[in-house]
Amino acid sequence: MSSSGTAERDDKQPTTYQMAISEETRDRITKFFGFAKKALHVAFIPLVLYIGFTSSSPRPSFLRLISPLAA
Amino acid sequence: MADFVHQLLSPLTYVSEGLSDLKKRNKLSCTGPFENLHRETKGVFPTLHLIQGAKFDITSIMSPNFQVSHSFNWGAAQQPPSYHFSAGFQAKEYLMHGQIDDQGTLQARANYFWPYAPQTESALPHLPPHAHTEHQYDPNLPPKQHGENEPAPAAAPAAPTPPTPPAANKPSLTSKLQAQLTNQPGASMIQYEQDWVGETCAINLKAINPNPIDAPAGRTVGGSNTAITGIYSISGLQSITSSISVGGEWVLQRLRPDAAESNYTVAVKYAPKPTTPVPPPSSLPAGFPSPYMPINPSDPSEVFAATYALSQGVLQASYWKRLNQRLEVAADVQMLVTPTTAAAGPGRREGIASVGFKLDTVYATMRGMFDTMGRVSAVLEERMAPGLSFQVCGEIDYAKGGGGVGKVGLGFVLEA
Repeated sequence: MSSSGTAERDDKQPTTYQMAISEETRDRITKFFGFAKKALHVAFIPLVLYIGFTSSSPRPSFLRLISPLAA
Repeated sequence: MADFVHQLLSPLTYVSEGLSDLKKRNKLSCTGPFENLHRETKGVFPTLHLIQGAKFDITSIMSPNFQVSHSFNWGAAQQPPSYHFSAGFQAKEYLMHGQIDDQGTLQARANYFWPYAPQTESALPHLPPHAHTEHQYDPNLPPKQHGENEPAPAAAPAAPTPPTPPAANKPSLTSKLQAQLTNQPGASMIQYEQDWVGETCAINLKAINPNPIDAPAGRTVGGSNTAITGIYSISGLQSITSSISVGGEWVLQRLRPDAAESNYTVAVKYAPKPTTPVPPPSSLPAGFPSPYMPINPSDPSEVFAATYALSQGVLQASYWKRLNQRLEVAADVQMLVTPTTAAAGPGRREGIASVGFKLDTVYATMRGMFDTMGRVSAVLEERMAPGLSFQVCGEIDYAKGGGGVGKVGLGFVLEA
């Protein structure tokens, strides 16, 4: 984390966030978020279904999920 | 020493007591969040309810909290036939909803409702901390909710009356996470929003695709090599009298580290507190108990809202009025006014005005609208039997050549 106190500040440049990370760290973080995005994409709907099935008070039968016209 | 501190702080306590006095006398009303400024007109116009082609929905309500639906769309000119599956679960403190379609696009939403019950005695005295969530409707609420100064609600004349619903704008504190994930790279979006609605004001913070470690354009040796990109916005509304609220929004769009753009919007809303209760429709015989949904007597029945985006020069003004328990009318004007500048070319002054209505009968809802672009549209939704609902909609654009271009839509919703 380098914090350089530059004496002259160019008004045209926006103030940059004073944090330096290595390219390898950035790659790792990017890869992690890419994986997390895929995991969320695949697992969100099953998670909602799981929470809904286990928390509903008259617990619905599993068949109702697949066939909406089941009793 | 204690005396000295007390003397020092006495102007502050005087100001804060004055402020809560103001709130206690109900002079300032709850404004609702900034994005609800034009909400009533959006509910009246058929634009959001128009479908093209045919639609068939099957909704399974597994329990009052959990709902699953399958939806089939086909027949639209520009869109291929598609299938959407959606699942939603709502608890007292949180809500989760996901919708996925046949192309693999997921739209996910998760909200968390923080327990937030403001302490002034006039607001919501009888509710437990979580009961102010948007979806919860407590049928055991006492009919007189808002303030000791208001007269007894006149909206409930006859003996077996349904309880008054909670007010439309209530204090709340919500965290919302929304994501739209697609299989195409680069087209995904994630949004985090923190929404606070207080008794007299509202503040909303939003971050879309925040990325604090993006690589900046020009790398410098020994300096920082991260930049924050994303779209960030803050918006707020403050009530200055019991009818008028003003507010604004500031959006900072930094999609690449070297391209930052900020936009400002100012807004004003006029929503007078109703002095008389909403009348029942004139077609009902006098003294007959009204079959329509009850309306909270402190909800405004007339709202005028205007927003002006200074950077783009877009002005949107809308007016909504509830005429009786089943009829609402709305008018909306959107104008683009830009000055002539050397950089952007000649100025423009264009506008679209639209007028519409919404009529609720016991079994059906009808919405219609026409606008100055020569477009007329209408939607009819009807509950034909318990669990079966039918929707037909049409739109004609008379300005386009050949006598007009039209779209028709037909839909069925089945609850199984």
